[in-house]
Amino acid sequence: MLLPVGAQDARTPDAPPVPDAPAVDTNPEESRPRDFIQIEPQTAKPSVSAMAPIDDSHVVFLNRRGQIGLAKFSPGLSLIGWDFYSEVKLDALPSLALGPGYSVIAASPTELTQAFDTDEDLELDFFQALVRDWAGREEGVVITAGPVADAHGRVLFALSPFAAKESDSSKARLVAWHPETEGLVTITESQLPIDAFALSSQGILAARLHMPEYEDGYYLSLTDLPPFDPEPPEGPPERIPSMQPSLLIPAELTRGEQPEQLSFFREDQEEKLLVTCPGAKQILEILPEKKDGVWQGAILLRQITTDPVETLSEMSPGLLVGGGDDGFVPVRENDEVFRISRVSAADDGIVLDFTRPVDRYAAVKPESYSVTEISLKGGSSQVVGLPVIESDGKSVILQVDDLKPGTVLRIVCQNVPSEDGKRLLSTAAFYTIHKRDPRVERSD
Amino acid sequence: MKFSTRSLSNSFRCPRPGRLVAILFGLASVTVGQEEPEDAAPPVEPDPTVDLVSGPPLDLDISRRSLTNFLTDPVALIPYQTPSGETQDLEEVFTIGSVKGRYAVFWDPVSCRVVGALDLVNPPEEEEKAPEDNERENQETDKEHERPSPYVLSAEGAFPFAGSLGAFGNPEYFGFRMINGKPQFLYTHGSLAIEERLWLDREGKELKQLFSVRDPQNDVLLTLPETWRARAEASAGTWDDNVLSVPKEDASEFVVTYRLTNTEPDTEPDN
Repeated sequence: MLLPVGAQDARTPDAPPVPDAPAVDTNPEESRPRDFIQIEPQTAKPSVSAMAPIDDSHVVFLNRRGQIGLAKFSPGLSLIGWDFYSEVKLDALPSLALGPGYSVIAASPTELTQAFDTDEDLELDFFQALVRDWAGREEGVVITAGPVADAHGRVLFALSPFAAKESDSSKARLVAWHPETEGLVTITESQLPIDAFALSSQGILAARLHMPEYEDGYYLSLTDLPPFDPEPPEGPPERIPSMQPSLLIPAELTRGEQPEQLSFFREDQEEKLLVTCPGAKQILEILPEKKDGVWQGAILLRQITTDPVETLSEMSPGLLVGGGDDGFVPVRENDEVFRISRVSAADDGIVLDFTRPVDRYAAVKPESYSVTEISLKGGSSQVVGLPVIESDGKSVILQVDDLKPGTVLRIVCQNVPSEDGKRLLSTAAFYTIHKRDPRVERSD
Repeated sequence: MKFSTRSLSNSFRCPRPGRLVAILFGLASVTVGQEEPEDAAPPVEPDPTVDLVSGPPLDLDISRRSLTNFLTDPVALIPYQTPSGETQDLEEVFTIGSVKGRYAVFWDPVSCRVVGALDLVNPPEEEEKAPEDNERENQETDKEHERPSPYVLSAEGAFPFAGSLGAFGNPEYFGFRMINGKPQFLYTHGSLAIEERLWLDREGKELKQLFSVRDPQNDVLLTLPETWRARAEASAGTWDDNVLSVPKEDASEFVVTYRLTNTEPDTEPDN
């Protein structure tokens, strides 16, 4: 088995900055390769609660007990081997980020920690407390999610709700730590606590918001990550962007189980968001779509796994590895599975894409579908659509007169098998249509 | 065989907040990956934590956990009180134990001190009782709440270095290093930069605490809880009741040893 060892140019946590270097290190040339060493094979499977990819074939991971490990995969994402990167058990939240010199950043409720392998013996030996203090810390404000590293060299994490002044409402905050900036910078705020969040390479920020007493689903916020200004802010901004619920992940799709982690990945030249639901052994797929300045999109069931998958990591575009209590598993889509792969709105109705051609005899019947418009303000109504099948048999347009903004469409294809007789992985799919942001010019 | 690092492109430079402390602790001069001749063997320094008499210490199991605050001393509890006067739990304390050891030791980054040592087997007073005493106690079930604390050590009083010149305010935890499997905690207390290494020795019956105070300008004073004094010995300095005064010449490395058992090691039967 092969694992990385040593760093040829890695910096210590406190190495002096290079005078001519830019303030923020975004130059991958500075990260040179490491050599590998041989380690003994082992058959034991680690538990995996979080992962961060190093490259196409290596990840750092966190196990259930809070230990950080390293794992290596074949090009087909079969596990070649793994080893602990640290014997110390951290009280870490299920998220990891990478820093320079193969350092690993973890967060516990009360500390953001960066761990280094300073003597290059393949073991983390120096754990620096990067952040232990923030507004409201003495009143019990804790880290609830993260860390996530962004493209600007910042480390983002979420803090539980806190009101700075008695007159303010209590708000959760997504904050950024940057080595060149004193203190933390608030990126966004939310009325609801942030349970998990992910950041896409295109700067889409997805956050799962906490609403424990709501049983019909789970709120997800989609926003654009505000632009990064390397200059320290002179004062508090006039207005901090707010995270609002964008989508509701229906409990119906998760079998009532709590969605856990969020992971962006690229497939078919677009960014998709995957949501793990280990309690139901399901992976959901969200297709974010920005319309007139507002994020909306479709929520679909992508996969039912053999074992519960807690966390996902995109090793290379479109190639995913999953982790859970039973170790690592490659997560690839089964071409044989018949499922709804996209829901979108068109001028003449609702477009349903399928992974395989549908049975045209069944799919052409209006009674094979039921569409419910659920108003975001409450109430619902049935919509009757006239199905029109595209020539390849993999798309159906449900022609409807008008789709109301401010609704969630619940589309059930109760009698649409594939042309070779396969049943749908899930007959239900959801699509949210928001009212357009009046401040944004229409794009169509 | 090598690999390049996609994810490290979003890396960042050295963290500024800890830089001063890093310099104090000598970490800033360390350069990972410095090229050295392959045949240049690194100098081997003797491990000061290996006791030549009792042999190498136990392999430690180190984890960070949040615990119900077991401290009872009002002064020791001050760092854990919220502005509204409530006492906070011990959050993410370092729990240092061993599979073979009977005791677990807790080091807390809020107060930067050993806050306690727990007897994992029995409450400390019970181990010395005769069998007939135990039988009698078993019958007195209504006195369950009067059992002695299972904590053989429990922090009391102000911060341990609070009496030293230069120590002011609250200590500030910076991080920890792992050295030969033992944690070494790094913190400052006022102008004092302190490294504190902990491990268990003599089959886990002793707690060792190696202090390194960087470049002290004066002698340092280490104040132990009064109840700990009878269990403690120091490799340097002189005791005045429960206060250990260490000359500044010796402050760069001195060891305090605590007996965790309730009997002297030489007289305690092996079990």
